Amino acid sequence: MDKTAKSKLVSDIESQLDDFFGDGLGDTSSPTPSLEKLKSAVLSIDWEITDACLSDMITETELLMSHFEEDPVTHALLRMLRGLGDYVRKRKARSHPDAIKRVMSVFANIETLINDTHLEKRQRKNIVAKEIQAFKKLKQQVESQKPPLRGAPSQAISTQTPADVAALLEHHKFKQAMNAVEERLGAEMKSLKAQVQSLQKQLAALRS
Amino acid sequence: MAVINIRKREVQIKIVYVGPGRGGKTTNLEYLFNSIRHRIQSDMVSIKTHGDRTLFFDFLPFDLGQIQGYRIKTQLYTVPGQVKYNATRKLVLKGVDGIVFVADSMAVMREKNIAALENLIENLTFYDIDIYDRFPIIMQYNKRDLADEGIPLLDIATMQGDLNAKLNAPFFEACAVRGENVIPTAKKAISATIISLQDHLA
Ligand SMILES: Nc1nc2c(ncn2[C@@H]2O[C@H](COP(=O)(O)OP(=O)(O)OP(=O)(O)O)[C@@H](O)[C@H]2O)c(=O)[nH]1
Ligand SMILES: [Mg+2]
Repeated sequence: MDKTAKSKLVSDIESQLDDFFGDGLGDTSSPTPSLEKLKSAVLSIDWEITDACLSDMITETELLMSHFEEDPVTHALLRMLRGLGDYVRKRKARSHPDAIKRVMSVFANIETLINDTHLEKRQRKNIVAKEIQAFKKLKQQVESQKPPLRGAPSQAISTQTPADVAALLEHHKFKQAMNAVEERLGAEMKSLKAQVQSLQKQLAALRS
Repeated sequence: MAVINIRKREVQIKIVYVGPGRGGKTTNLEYLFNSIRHRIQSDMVSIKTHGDRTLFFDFLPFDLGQIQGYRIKTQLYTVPGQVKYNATRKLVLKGVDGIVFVADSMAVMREKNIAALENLIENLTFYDIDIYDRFPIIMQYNKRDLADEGIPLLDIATMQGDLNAKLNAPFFEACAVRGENVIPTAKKAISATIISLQDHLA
């Protein structure tokens, strides 16, 4: 290969590498915070709602928020996720059963917005609009669930039909049952985890 | 040796990250994976013990696109750095086209860096590769950030003297946990490797 052919090859390689990895200008600035950490926090909430995973989720969301300040669409969903996280952290088992569903859905859409670079502006806006609608609906439900404020006009109670109260009771019972099941599952998970750990130890001993 | 398929106009290159245990090889690949995951179809495979030590290897394959009409498929690997895993290291090095040597800048790691390089040379000799004969290798002096924490580091001149005096390979100071100079290291390794294959490509 002669010299000019070689320098052409070198510049072809370089431009291809720049295209693929970016031109390297971003290398010294702070790296994009990864969605991975947020994802694992969100997934662990789906599994078991603990303070630790909720505050992980909130912290990771806030990190991403500062990174996506210039992107109002993604930023809106991140804010929503943080709001949901705050709500669940405060209300724990008493939070509305749909709240976690919303967390999952909002996260899935954040993932789409960030990873799918082919989405058109209109599609991105659509995604957010749908989430906002669902979020508003949840908010209304949560508000109607709240006990009336002390000193609020008594008609607030009287507007509750017996059917509503029954539904509420049902719901409360359902929650209790769910809690019992969750406790049971938690205990079983613990023992399973211990078993897996001891198996891993055995495996490591065999391998070394 | 790279797999070159003239008919399909496809070249597959294999680059292996080597270096002492806990030096930051896996961290390099993880950072790369996070930076390019949105544009590649493949996943990264890591085989670790339940700590974070590499047990077998990490593997990150991706399609780089076309260069001069050839589709370049790149495979990045790491080997386990721990001394006891030499059989595995040797196996992973089979068919290697380029090397990134990740050295640990901590002063206490000086001997370990040197031993790891000697071990690499020995393993490559097994595959008839002479590292001093224009073999593509890039040096990375990692964990430079630890200076800020008051941890004694080897200065670059010392590392160059220990590891790179005879090789005279391109080198980068890096902080893999923060991603600093991780991508430039990989780019340099890929381009040096492709250039070394030029005769086959032409
Ligand atoms: N401070 C600092 N820590 C680092 C840096 N790079 C890696 N580490 C840390 O060093 C430890 C080991 O990193 P790994 O990437 O797992 O090292 P490795 O070379 O793959 O180790 P083996 O798989 O055992 O060979 C991890 O705790 C990393 O977070 C760096 O640039 N600075
Ligand atoms: Mg490793």
